[in-house]
Amino acid sequence: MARQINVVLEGSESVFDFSKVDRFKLYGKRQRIVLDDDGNRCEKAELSDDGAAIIRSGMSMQAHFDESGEWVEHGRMVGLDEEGNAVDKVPSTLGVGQELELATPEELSQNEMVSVYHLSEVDCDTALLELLAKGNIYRFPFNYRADYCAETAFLLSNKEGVFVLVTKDASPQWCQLDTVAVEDFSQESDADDELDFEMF
Amino acid sequence: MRKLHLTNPKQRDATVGMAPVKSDIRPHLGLPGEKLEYRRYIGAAESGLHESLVAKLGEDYGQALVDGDPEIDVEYVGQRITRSDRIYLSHGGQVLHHAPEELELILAPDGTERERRPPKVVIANVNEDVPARWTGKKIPKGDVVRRFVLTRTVALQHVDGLTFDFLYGMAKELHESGTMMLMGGGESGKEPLILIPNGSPYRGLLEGRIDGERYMLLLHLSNMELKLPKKAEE
Repeated sequence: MARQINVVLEGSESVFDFSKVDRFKLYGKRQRIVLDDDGNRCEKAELSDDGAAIIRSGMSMQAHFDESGEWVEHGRMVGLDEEGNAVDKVPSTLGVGQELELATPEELSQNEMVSVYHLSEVDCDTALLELLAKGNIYRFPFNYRADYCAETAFLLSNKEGVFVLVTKDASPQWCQLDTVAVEDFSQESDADDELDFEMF
Repeated sequence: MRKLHLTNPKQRDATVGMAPVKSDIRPHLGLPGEKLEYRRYIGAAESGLHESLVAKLGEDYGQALVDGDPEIDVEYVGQRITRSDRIYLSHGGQVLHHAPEELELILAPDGTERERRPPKVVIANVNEDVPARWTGKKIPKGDVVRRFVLTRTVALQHVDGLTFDFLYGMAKELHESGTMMLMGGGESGKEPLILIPNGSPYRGLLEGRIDGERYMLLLHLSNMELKLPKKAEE
């Protein structure tokens, strides 16, 4: 059975099927390709820094190693907090009723967007749908698969339907007269900027 | 520090700092009390790739891997990858030694090719000369989050006392109206914002909050509407 999103508002549970919505599904995308002298598509690869190896797709791997250089199996690793202490695993929330809490647009707008799902009603409390149609936004914990930190999801609706926006909590800083802007942007990735956008 | 040139409601312009709003620190994977190092390494030589193994051993080569490790080339496997350069291989697998021809494919949402064209150079439409403009179009915050997916957010920061007043004034106006302001790029001041050369256009929505003498001015960038794909509508 497909996994579902279950939410609870004032004791009434609603069950939804869900499907991911992304930019490609809405607008398509732009993709750059490279051609060789004969007009055939080239393959992207890497040349190692010593020039000794051409690394094609499927040839590289990645892993964690301990201080003695031994490979550490992924399954042995656990979630650690900032101080290096192990944290409890958070189970998947799919199929398990999650309590809804009323949220504000500001709580949603300040968080970092992760993914967007469109919901299809399976067994739904009509009172919830009415409140969503009035403009209410609800927050609930969301964890697609078990890991060490649940995301925060927001349930809302518009004329297109009911959506869940999955986000990571963020805490933007207040600015005061005596604070100085000194952020270092050297690590910021602009990889997404290669993608196309045709909504305009 | 990255800068943003923008105008306020009076169309006065200034250049301020901007910083990405990133998520709070989350747990990372590791072992308690141990220092682990993440490495990239070569896991298979070309002779260990599927196509090579099929050519050498036939489609059903699983048992051969167990019996003799033919996929392991000790000359390469395990070699650490530190830095590397991107290269392109021709259709025949040869390294290209000159700049190749690039094309841009436009793919429809169903994955079919809609157009094939030379890559277009996109010029940033917000820069030292052209500010991001306060369009005057206010949208209630609740409507914004139900209409747009706010893909990225940057926090605007003052760089001196004058720009503190400049940004605080905008934050106050937006805070009190409970709205976000649509910001426009380009000479017309109505285009979606393109903040870097060859960057994607984003709808820019400015949100302001104040708390006493403190302010928060967030520029939300959206490249996606909250709607259903056409396929699902039909």
